[in-house]
Amino acid sequence: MANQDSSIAVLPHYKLQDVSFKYDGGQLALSGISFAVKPGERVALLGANGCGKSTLLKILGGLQFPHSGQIEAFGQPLTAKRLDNEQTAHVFRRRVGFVFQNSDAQLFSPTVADELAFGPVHMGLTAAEVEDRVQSVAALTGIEHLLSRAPFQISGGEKKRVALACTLATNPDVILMDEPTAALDPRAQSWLLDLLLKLHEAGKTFVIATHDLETVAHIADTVIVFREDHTIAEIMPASELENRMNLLVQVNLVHEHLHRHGSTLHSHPHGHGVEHTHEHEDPA
Amino acid sequence: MHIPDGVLSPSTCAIAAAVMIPVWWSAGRKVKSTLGAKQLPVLALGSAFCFTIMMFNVPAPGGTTAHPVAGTLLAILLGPWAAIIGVSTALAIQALFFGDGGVLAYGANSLTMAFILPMVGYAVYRLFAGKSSGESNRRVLAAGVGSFVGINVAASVVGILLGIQPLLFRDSTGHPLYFPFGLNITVPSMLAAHLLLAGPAEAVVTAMVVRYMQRTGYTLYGCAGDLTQQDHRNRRWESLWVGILALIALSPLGLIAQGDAFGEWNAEDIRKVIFKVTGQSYVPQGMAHLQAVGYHPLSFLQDYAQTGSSANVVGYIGAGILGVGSILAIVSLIGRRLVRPADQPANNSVAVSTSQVSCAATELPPWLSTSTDTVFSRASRGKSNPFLQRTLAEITNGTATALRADKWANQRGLMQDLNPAAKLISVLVLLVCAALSHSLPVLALIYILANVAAYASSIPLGVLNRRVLLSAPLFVGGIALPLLFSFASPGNPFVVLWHTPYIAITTQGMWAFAVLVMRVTATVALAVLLTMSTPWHKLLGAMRSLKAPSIFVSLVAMTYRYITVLLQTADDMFTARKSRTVGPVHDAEARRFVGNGIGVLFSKTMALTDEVIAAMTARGYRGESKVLNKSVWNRKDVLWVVCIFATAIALILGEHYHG
Repeated sequence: MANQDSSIAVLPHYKLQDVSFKYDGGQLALSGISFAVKPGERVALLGANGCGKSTLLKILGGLQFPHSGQIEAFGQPLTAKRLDNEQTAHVFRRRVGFVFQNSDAQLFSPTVADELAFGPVHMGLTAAEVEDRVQSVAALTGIEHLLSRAPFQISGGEKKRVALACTLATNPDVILMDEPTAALDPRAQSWLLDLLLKLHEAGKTFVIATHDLETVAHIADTVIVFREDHTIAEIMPASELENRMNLLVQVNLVHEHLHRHGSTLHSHPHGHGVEHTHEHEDPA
Repeated sequence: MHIPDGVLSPSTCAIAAAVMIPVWWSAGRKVKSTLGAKQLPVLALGSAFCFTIMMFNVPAPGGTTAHPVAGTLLAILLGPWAAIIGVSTALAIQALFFGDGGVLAYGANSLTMAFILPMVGYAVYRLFAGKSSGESNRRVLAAGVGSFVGINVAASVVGILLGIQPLLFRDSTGHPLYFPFGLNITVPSMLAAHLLLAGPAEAVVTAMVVRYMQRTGYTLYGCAGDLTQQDHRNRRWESLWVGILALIALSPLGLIAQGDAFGEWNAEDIRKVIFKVTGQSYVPQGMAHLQAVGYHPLSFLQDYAQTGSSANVVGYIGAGILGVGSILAIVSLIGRRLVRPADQPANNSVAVSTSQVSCAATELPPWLSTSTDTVFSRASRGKSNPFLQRTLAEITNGTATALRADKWANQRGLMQDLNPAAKLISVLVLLVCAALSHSLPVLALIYILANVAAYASSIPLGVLNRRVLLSAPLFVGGIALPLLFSFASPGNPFVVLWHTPYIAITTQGMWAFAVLVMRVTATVALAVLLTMSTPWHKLLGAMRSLKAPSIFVSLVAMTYRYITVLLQTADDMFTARKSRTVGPVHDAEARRFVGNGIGVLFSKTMALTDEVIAAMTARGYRGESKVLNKSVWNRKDVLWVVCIFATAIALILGEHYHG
């Protein structure tokens, strides 16, 4: 609270100042990252595979902590020590929801119903409240018929719905999403975009890591473009993105050859696979 | 090495479980203190990993294949305490959901495979590894030796558990009530199979996985440089393990000696001993009878047994020499492998910066732009190795079983409508009843009861019985077949097959055979009925409502969840391997593939574990599992449990008074 910038009228949900992060092996993942996220804002993190988007999301989610620089969440410093405190952790986890890229990692409970109940139960809601949450969030995401199924009995698209539903079940203020549209068919994608719009209108804040250029304009107000050296290239309104293709070429997100044929030619699923292995093998 | 139900006496099962309870308790405490809030996901993924690689087939000498047990490997990678819990959980799921290993025999199976195997394996590994660094070849060697000794000691304990059954449990006519063959058969045959086949395969695979993990830069358990305090603690525990190892290594000899002494006791001594061990005062006649007719079980050590215990000792010293010889041979073999100059540097992590990967379409190399079908024409020649097909089939089968499990459980019917906890209690009561019973009609009645309940639950009897027959009874029936004949079961001849030497099928033999097979059939039918009529998450709920430790239930739940993910990963790996198989696969190559495959799977498991921990933390998990309990008992459930209890008591009392 102490060093608030007086020029910002509303207290930002997140404020990062010169944040850097290294993997265990010493490899750089983020370097000198500074930006702020206002309440209700939708921010897209745009960058090529391995630029540090997922790591940044984990830092915002209080799952990893920067090696240098400051990060504030809801006006309080976000540190490992503070999250060791049960009370602080409780409040923070309630306010921040995280939709992971790998639904299999996110869906760890025996059934979909258990999955939706996990967050509310750990937040200390009563049995009746939990049941109510489970039913209404299932209705919202159209997964009522899946409630008694096991996670391995549902399709990839359904898993993504369940992952989103179980994040929403705790009614977070900020929703962090890692490649939400990846591996979704076009119909499921447009369903997701509609839902995100609805949640936006309800005042939710989003930080979404993506390299899906087509959907960025639909899901974000602000775009943060990352360079491959793990720094921020530019922060700009999402509407300006289409005029800045030269920047995207510069950060290796699009290739000129591909660009000429239009952005529809991106092959996202492959991109994810590469990024995934990268992130987890490098620290070792 | 999985012991099914009905083969061990209930008291043996109870004693094994009683030994395991403090082991689980202290392992749980140990793991909690080192892993903290991460323990649930780490152990669950570790167990799922263990379960998955138990389905792998490794080519063993002589064209056979063997399953790795992975206990020693898990101990080397995650620590011995985590290995105890990991293997125990994998065994629980095998017993509960896949009918592999008995439910009542769970304690005994855990004792051998989840406690003795990883502990002995890890102790030997520590002894051989000494103070060498985590990246040294010596650790690889030590891992191979440790897993070899571990699996062999565990196998001999299985042999002992089986072999003491006929010494302790016989009916009034002297026929064994449970497993029919003595130590002089069980221990050597278990040891022979594991010294020659499963042991070498396990050793090679363990060593290769450890090697793979070293290359990827994984820090083996207890090898982190900064953990000096833990090292101290480890060293203190090490001496304890060595002690345990020594005791366990000596115990077979002790028991063999005791077993010989059994034959020399008089009836009164045996009565005392049996009373002391089992609390039952009965059947000295069996032993007396045996002595009178000169009973000697069929065995290649029969001559030794007849000439007395000194010859037996010779046999065991022989086995010991064979064992030590095999260990030395394997050590030298692996050792030669390791010093090959072709070794890559330890740090071969692919550190290609993405900016170097150009998207520009470079020219195709010429070999890629022409078709070359003739180059691989030798593919059809040479012997093909069954390991890929076998492993694929088993993995697919395992996945299918897991996926299909709810097919009948979700329809309506007698069993499905019951409260899962009531169902679990009733099945356990009948399991105990079957294990205690020595009467063919009682056992047949229990089996029929299971079939009637299945029928009332619209579970196809054909499917139920196929599953029942395909598992334990066939196996046990095969083993128990010699029981039919006069050389194993002296008595009234039913059919005389041969006059000199005299071989006949005896009525007593038929009776003993039928009782054993029927008991196993009945217990398996009960377990299969339970899993077929109950969705597994409800079974977990039932365990919870019956006050099973919540960490255990959460662990089983999460393990089961991630078995499906890892099975899929393994399936993909083997399918990919198969799709690229041109030409015959040699055993060594196959073993290398399995070894590396397990290493890759472990790396993936660890990566997934990190993600799961993050996902759980993000939703407010702080190390304690909270679950909603939604168990509702109605009148029907109570009535059902009361009926089952009454039936069980009636059966036991009826058998007691009618003989």
